[in-house]
Amino acid sequence: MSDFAANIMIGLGKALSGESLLFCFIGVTVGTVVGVLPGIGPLAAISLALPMTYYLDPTAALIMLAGIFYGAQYGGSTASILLNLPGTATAAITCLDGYPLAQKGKAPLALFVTAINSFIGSSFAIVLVMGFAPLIAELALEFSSAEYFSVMLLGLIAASTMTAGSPFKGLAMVIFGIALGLVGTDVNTGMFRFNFGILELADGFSLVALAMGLFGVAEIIGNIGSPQGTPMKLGHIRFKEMWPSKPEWKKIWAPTLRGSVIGSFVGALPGTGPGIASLMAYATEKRLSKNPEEFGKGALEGISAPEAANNASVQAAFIPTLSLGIPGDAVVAVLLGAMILHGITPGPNLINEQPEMFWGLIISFWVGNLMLLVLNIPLIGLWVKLLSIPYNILYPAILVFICVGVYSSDNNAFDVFVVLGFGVVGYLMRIFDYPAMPVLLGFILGPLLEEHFRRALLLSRGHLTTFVDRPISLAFLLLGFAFLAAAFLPSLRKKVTGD
Amino acid sequence: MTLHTPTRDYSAAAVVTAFGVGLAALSSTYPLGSMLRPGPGFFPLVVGLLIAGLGIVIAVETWFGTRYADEGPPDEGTPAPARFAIRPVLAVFVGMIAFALLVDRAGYVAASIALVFISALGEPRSNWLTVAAVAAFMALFGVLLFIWGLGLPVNAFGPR
Repeated sequence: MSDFAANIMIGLGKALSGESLLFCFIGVTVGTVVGVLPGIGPLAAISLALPMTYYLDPTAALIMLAGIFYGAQYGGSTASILLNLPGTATAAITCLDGYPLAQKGKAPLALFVTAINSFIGSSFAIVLVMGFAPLIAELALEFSSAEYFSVMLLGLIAASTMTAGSPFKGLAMVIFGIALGLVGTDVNTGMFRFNFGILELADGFSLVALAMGLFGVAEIIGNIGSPQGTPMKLGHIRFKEMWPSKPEWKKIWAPTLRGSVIGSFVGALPGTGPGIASLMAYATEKRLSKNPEEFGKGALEGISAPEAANNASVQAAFIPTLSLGIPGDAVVAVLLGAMILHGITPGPNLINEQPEMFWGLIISFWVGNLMLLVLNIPLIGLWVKLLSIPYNILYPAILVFICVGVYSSDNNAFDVFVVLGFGVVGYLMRIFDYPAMPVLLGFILGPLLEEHFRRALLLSRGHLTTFVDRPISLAFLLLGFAFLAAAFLPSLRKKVTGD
Repeated sequence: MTLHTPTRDYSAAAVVTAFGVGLAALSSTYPLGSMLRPGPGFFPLVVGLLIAGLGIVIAVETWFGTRYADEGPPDEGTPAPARFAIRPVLAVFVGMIAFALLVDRAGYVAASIALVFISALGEPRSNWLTVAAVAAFMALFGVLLFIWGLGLPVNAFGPR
């Protein structure tokens, strides 16, 4: 236990240093801004900020990038409530009851509840990260390539099948991502694969370029010309209007707790993120509620549970990321990419070898969430004003940011073309209803998957049975198989997602 | 919510299958290796075949007309646009190509101004005075932030 206290002290020391506080603040502020603004999400923002962190201390860089991620979850609900248009897709569920609440004149209350629940959900999950990540890392020290292969496969299957759309499209896109990850030099033989004689592709596609294309540019193209709502006028918000009454507190505490639990669980599962967490939390509340007919007409439970869930899942996503080196969701996958770029190997050794980084990052989550509470309750009026900037002013400016970011990440104009190409691919995927998130996850995990697959076969002298002979590996595979079976049996799937 | 027409769903599935078949065909030009030591072509071949197979499964699914709940959000990005619009695609496309070609030859200021003006063509309601203001702002702000502030290796004016 004294170990634990000592670790907390290390973390506090790191997280409360001036540099960490500054970058944490920058991160959560940028996160809130991109969260509030529809049409640019945390993924695009993190990829944008990534090249600018090359010269920073790696811990400070991670603190800032992570801040963008969880900060965006706070901001996302603002546009949902006032515009009926989600600022980030994960806040889409919040529209269902948040906007009706605003129409009833209860926007301040809704904004307050989403902010405070985001904080509760996050805090809940951070405690879990502190408890579980070191434990899992300890277990994972025993893992060999077979286990790594199986747990990654499980993550990829979970990520692609647990979506609202067709699980097969999700699976196809995850494998499409793996295929994109094949481009470049084969690590085992040094042979160039699929680079079509283009020298710039010898190292494969750049992660930043892929993420910005699929999420930044594709989203901009899709948003141009789409109607933009006008945010509800709020005037001056008084604190009294925000504070929930006693019966209202009574209504929200249980959904908040349930949302936190669901979110933490979904988030900790490799591959699944806040979108599915908030969806499941909403469905659960609707089923448990005594008056489900109120949902969609401004039920407080309908905003408290999903908001707690999406924030919890964002924080819990760091459990597999920091203990196994396997991203909890696609945005964290980009963070993982950032760690690798900074020369840190994510994996079970990280916590022991770099305690300052691990505990500093965790404590910075608390600090960042506290800052967000201040940013989102007293300063809410500022973010509401942001919503009135017309999109046709915003998007050319965002494009400049994207181009400069991509260009400077490798100092290479070729990457701008890569972004452009994936932007168009991503736009077409949206139109045809193919999810883009799994592509990114496949792209990042694919090379690791192949490496561990080949190494496991080498270690077992070519016996495929190595994956089922080892009990932990078998357990992961069986769980993955269960997800696949659920995908093939739509009736079972419906029960899981609650429709 | 996207409009589903069978033709569109089938053609998308066909593209997926074609991609998989192409990948599998290409990967057979690399050594496959053995079970003990899988070569660089082995994994890509499996990946290609899986994609091709899933394309067929998606087509079958379309045939049966399986519907999924539409309310679920993706993890990122706003809901899908309902139909293909060529104007924004072209504007963004040409704008970014202009940036890529200009940035090494004429520097950041020219490249960013070109990008802002060309990409603004994607929005028919653009007001040119506003666009000019955005362009001027991004040129100035970018020089201050990217070049002076962050020290990114980009030239403000002239070739690299």
